[in-house]
Amino acid sequence: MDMLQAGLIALFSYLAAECVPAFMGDFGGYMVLSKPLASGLIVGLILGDVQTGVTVGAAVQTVYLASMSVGGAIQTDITVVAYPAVALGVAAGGDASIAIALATTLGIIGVLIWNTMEFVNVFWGNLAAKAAENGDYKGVIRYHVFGTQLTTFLLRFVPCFLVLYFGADYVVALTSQAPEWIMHALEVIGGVLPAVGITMITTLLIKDATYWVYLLIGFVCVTYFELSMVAVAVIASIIAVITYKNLGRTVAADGDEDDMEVEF
Amino acid sequence: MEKKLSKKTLFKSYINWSFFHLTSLGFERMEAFGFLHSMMPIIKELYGDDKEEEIKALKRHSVFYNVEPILGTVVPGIVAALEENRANGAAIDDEMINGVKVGLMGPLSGIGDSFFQGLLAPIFLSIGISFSEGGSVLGPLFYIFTMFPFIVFFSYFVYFRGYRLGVNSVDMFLGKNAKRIQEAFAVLGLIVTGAIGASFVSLSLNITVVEEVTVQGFLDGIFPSFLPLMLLFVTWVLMTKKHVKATTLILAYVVLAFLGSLLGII
Repeated sequence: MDMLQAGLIALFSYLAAECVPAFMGDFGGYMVLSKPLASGLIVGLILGDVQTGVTVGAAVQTVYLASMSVGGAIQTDITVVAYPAVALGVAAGGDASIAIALATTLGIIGVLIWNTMEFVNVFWGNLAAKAAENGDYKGVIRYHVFGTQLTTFLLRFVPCFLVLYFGADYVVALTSQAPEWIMHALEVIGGVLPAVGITMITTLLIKDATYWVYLLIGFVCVTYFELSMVAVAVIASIIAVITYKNLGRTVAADGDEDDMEVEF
Repeated sequence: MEKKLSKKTLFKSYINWSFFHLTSLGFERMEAFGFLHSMMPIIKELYGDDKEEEIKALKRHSVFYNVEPILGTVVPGIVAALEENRANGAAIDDEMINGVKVGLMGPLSGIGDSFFQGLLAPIFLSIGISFSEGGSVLGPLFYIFTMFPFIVFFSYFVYFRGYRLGVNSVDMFLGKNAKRIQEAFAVLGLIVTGAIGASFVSLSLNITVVEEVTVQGFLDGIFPSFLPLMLLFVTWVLMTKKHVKATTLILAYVVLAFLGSLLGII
């Protein structure tokens, strides 16, 4: 990877981050361009191999389908996964299992970067608060936007650039010499880890064990009936509408009781 | 004279929130200045002629604030309406404005996080992944050009709904009917999640009982993808019933995968 390519990818790992306004922060950064599926396209364009970029990005995405950032706390810095990890996977000859293995480690380093940023921003926040007390609009912007972005840029760009510029050769060398059972283990990991991400979604939605029947519907649609994801989404929407209507009946009945209570 | 926020000011306020909500996220005040940033055009227009009130308003919105940003776009809209009424002499004090902000943080974040990160993104990503077979750019392009416009339109819509209807505007998400909507979305989400699980989780045993008879072949005969389903179920039990952390599980699965691969059984 040459210096320009490493620089461009590191630049995107800054621009697409959640706390950077370039792509509307959470809206187009975290929710869109920080997804490995989207980053695969960008990394592919920069490295001159779109097909490999998208393949690696899509494979890494399966592990991070439900990467969550809740209330300012993160478990994995998805932007670091999306750019440096996918880029190293492409550099190592398009090996998605390498990218997935690296993603786990890099994602945790990303959490360290994230927490450092939240800590540094306390300092900028205090300056912005002082400016607000003096009615100084420009001062608020100076610290809340320009100050924070200076440190956030350094925290995100520099480590990514170093990893890409100096690390790519090591990764390529390591993968070409690794024994077969390690490469097989990495493949197995790529198949097993999505279970954790998927369960993070289900814990939000499953209220008791009976909700597993809905999960089973989707599961057998794919395994038995070999339906595409779009077809499953259509079926799921139909069942959701039926559920909504059925609940309407019971809610309406409850509603009558509520009215009676009001009369008391 | 009755003060009325111009459409231009409201639009500026929306833009400030939609770009800068997380820009200065810090441990102490989280999104405080993202919120203040969205209030600045409004404060300037409403209190620009009264330095004392202006500074009071700037201080009022420099306090701790933290919400899921997309659905949370409704809050600057609601608060813009409150500030407008206040500037026109309505009995709205600092406590009430802050109470509305604080009171909406929790419920809106709960719904916003599970809807956008837990439901919408995984569904669109799964469809995108299925389109990207063979490295086709269709997959990423599909995701980018469905998700991004949706988020922008949605947040724009809720901002102005918040301004028009004030506090009542969140009834759609938190009111009586909201339970039904949430339940329907949970059903939708779970069915799609099941399909995602079937498509992306893989695990197979490499154990031969006698020649040509493998454990995997036996399992496939009973129920295809039985092991991935069991893996999902075990993961769910560990995370919800035993409260094992996701990071611990990931580490454990990595170790098990290496052991299994070394022994040659998976």
